[in-house]
Amino acid sequence: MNIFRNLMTVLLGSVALGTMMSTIPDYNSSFQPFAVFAGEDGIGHGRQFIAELVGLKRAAAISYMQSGQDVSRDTSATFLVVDLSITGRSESRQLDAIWLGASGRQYSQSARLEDAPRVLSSATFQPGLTDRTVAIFEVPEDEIVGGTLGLVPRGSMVMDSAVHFAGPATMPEKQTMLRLEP
Amino acid sequence: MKNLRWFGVTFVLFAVTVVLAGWSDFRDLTHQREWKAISINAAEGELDGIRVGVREVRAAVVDNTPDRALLFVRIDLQKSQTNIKSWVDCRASLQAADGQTWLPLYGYSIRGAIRILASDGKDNGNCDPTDVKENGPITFDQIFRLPTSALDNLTLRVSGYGTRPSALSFPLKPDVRRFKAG
Repeated sequence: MNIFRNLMTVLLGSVALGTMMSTIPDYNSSFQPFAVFAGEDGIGHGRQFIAELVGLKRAAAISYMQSGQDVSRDTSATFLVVDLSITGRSESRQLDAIWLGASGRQYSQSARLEDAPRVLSSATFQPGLTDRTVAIFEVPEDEIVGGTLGLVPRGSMVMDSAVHFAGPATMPEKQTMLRLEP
Repeated sequence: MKNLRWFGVTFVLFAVTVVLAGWSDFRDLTHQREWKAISINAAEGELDGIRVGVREVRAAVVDNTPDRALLFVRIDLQKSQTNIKSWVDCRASLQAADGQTWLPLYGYSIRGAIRILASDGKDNGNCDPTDVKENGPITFDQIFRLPTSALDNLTLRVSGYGTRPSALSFPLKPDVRRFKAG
């Protein structure tokens, strides 16, 4: 009887340990950034930056000047251009943006427009300075209304915050050609 | 009494597990943070076998954006011991009294500002301890973007991966030049 009780104790202990080990969250999910939601004024306060959503535009094509050359890009989807105003807080930081579409799909910024003026992916935000920037996505039309913009510090996000902005309630007007100025 | 002894053993094993698991993370963290700033009230200081000298500090303010400034810092590094602890990298940053930290700008387009602000019109590149030798100092140039109001009370911190959490801290008094927008 005593042997049976000891065996049960060891067995239960092993099951408990195995359950704990198999359900332990991985590093990324343990340390993903805290979600901070922007207020009704369109301003979100992250730990290392303050961001304001100034506006959203929709365009079939985008043009800009690069090294003295006129550059034009079009897309089989829609360019979603998010106009942002960002103020650094404690340390110089680069940011990444993602668009969480209405269907739940996640879109990164368009890599084809990294050389466009004022794009978020090439900007560094300094403490005490406010700068205007744009995040440009290529998304299907039905991903815009009901979508969400997420802004996160680039690199380590451990114990950091991600600022979320609610997308538009109505579809922004579509421009045939949107000109991006420096 | 027997239960208390088991509780004590469990607690000791738990503490040992926490220390063993957390030690490598703590070591990683100390190589990222500059918790031990060594104040240097001269143009030169030494840390872990490398002598660091601050040679030029100039700020530029353009009249159409008077709230922000570019700060150019020229430093030189010279090896003072053959058997130095490895610096691995070189981090130069600016600190305000309230803890705000500005990191250097690394974009190619900003290097032209260094050539305008440097006394000899040259750009010696970003700080890199790889080629630092004993037989003479090697010069590096860094440029920062920060609020003009922060220029009055700044310190320059210089450290390497192997020196952190220790860093040299130099008070800066920049020579401010004002430019008219072209």
